[in-house]
Amino acid sequence: MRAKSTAALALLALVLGCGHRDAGLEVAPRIVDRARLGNELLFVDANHSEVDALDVTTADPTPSVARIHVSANPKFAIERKGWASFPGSSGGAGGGGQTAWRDPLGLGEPEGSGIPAEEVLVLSDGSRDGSGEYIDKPTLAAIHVDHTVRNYELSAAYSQMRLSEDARFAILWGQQSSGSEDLLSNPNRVALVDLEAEPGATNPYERTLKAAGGNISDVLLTPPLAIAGQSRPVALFSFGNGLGIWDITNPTHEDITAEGLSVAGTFLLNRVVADAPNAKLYLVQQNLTDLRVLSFGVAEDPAATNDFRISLNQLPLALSGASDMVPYTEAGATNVLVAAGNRLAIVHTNDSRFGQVVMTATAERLFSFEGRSPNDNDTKQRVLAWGAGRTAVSFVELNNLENAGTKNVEQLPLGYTLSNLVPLPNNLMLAVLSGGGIGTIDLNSRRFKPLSATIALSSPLIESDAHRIWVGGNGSDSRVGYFEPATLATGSLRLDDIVQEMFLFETGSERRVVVAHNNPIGSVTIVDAEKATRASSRALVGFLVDGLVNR
Amino acid sequence: MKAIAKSTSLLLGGWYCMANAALAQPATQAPAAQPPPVTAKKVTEAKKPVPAAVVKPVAVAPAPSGPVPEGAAAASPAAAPAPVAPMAPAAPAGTAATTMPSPNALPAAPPFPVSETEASRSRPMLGVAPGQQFLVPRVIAVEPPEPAEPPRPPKVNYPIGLELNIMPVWQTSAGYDLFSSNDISTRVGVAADVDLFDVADKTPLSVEAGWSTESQTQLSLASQLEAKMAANNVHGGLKLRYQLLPFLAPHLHMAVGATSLKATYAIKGGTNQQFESQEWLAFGFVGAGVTATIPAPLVVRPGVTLEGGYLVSESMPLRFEPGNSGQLIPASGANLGTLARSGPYMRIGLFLRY
Repeated sequence: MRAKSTAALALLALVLGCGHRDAGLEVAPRIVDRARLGNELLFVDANHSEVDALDVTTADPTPSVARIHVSANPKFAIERKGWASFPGSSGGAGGGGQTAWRDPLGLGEPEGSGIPAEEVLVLSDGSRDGSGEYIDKPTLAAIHVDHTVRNYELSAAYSQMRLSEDARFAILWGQQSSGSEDLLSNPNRVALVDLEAEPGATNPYERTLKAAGGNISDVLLTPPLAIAGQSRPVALFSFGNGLGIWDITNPTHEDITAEGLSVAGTFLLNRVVADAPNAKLYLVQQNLTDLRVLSFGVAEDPAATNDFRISLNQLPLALSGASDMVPYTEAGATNVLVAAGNRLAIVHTNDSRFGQVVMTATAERLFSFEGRSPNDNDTKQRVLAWGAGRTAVSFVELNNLENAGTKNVEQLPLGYTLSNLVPLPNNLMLAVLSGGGIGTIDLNSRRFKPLSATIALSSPLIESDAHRIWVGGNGSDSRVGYFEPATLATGSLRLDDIVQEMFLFETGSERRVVVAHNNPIGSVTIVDAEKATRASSRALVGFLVDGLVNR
Repeated sequence: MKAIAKSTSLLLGGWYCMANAALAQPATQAPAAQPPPVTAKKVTEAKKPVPAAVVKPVAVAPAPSGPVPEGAAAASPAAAPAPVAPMAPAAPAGTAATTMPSPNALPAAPPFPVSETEASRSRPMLGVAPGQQFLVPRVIAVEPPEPAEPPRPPKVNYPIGLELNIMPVWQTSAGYDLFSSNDISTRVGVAADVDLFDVADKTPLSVEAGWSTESQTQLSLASQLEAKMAANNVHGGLKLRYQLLPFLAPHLHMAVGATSLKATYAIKGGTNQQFESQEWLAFGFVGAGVTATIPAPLVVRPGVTLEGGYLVSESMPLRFEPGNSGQLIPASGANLGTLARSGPYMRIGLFLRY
């Protein structure tokens, strides 16, 4: 009897307890980044080590995704476009986070604008087993628009990345010291990935740089410079007290440390301007009254690994606090205009002469453009001096500036605090205002047209022809809106959920704004950019868990 | 005609009782062998029964035999039999006397209602000279005793059944994992059946109808998704029992039905969204089992039933269906997969059969 009872209880326990639940159902998607790829919006899911591709440009979009496997623990994705970088170079509209070094060449474009890339790069940390061995190596995955993936395996996890101007090369650096399995980490180890070549034994190419002093704080890839008869970019590594230079087209060559750049033991770089034809780099450093010029000449030592040599020159500014510079040509000679607070310095590069102009407004940034002015119809090079947090901008006539002085400087009060300026076609500048609001500055007519906003706005999305500029609530509002710079016509649309991030897709004649919402199962609203109405919009929900029970 | 037949039977019954009484007390039996004629007046009188165990002595005259008037018989069937009661000691004519009936005269039967007839007073009795007054006890008509109800045979047929059951169904579908941490969906329901006919000896075929409900709720995606399913099932089917033993009957069972299944999804993180989808799904099941009852001669017979089988059901797509009201932006929800509902089942029921 006892045996029967035991058997019955065992059977009951078996019946009631039988079956198991798929552990995958317990794992929620964890989206760490988003990026555009062709017609798709990609969601990087760190928990599932995959990238979910949602087609948002078809006539009848459906909430289903293509899943692309990547190495474990992906952490960010960037579109493979020139100058793309992580961390990103552009701050939010209200944040004013852009610094000179973040956009050291002044060539960065607002994130998300233009036509989507044909490849997206996803960097993953990989995963290790209990013994600390990698079971899934750190990888830079290049996801093509057809969803094929090239995996560039790395020896260690990196945290930052920057692309060259032509998006052929990627430099990875920044090893994690905290939370890493490794007892020791090498902060000066970098990886160079040639994205045009297939992964191989030397691609990626990893090396430890000769530390110029301290750790790498940032990396810059120059535009191609005419070095020793070959146009090629170089990588600049900013250390705490020096600058490292690496010829990335010949990665096996030694990296070079530029000596004598530190000031009182520190090296803080504000701005780099490349003079590509002359293979020169102008360095604007903090706390320095000189302008440093690095010149790349032909190597004289045949035994040297590099075919070039570097020489350092100094151009006196007699000013401190230099923050930006613009080269220009006057009477066949190359001059450099440097901004330093409320002063402008004119440096004659051929003979190192210099002069100064005092402005009524302070400016940290200089923007060079070709255009007219209200005073003359001649189209020529002029400069707009501006600064984040300032309420006025200054137009600078370069011709005879040194002699004319303040007569060549015209101030334009804005009445608003400026956060950022973004160049638009047709000599328009998009002015992003602090605390919300947006506007345009017409560089030809020198007029400012503001549009106020009641909320802080996200980074603007600029259509490729600047027909419309789209902004949205920055994580706190459910509205998106646009304005047309040419006419200042505006429109706005309230969505059904809070705007978290916005993307612009231009495919053929179709233009769509895709708004991502904060939803653990995935939620986007697709807005027809030509006809922005609720009726013509379409919401897709739950695509991150598409096919969940069958995964 | 029915009245005639009934009257006739009552008369015959009366006769039978009288015959029995005569057999029991031959010395006191009245000479009349024929039942007295019945008239309409007698009927009226006969409607006033004498209390039980009281016999009125009346003068009895020989009754001529003859046909009974139809109208009288039809009007008073109760008075028609008028059986002859045993005679009592003489009493003055026209004086009602009360006597106790003989203990031998059908003691168990209740006394018939007394019916005094005109004929019994006017007609001479056998053995008495004409004109001589002879006092005899009145003939008392006593109603025949109710025939004792024969003992009922034990009830063997219980054609109607009511059942309360639970029905665990093994759900091996991956889609079911969204709603439960195990693989069992338990339906709780009621069913009723009625026997149609016996297919063979001790093998009734019954038709059944039932309703059941089931509900499951489960958190998924690190508690960010709450999925709930609620189903109402109706079915109709056939059940073939074989009464193997008085208390045990194996059975075969098959049914078809429909399920109204509603799945609800609540998103806990971010915006608190909720989605619903509802489908009607056809299903059917085939099973075999046994029923055990208490073999007591009760009006209703309780028992238990245990059954196993396989349930086949349509599947349900698991979709987020956002409410596309006119005020919202048109939305499409993702398809999570499919909830297959087929699987083996067990059914345990408590029933009452009548």
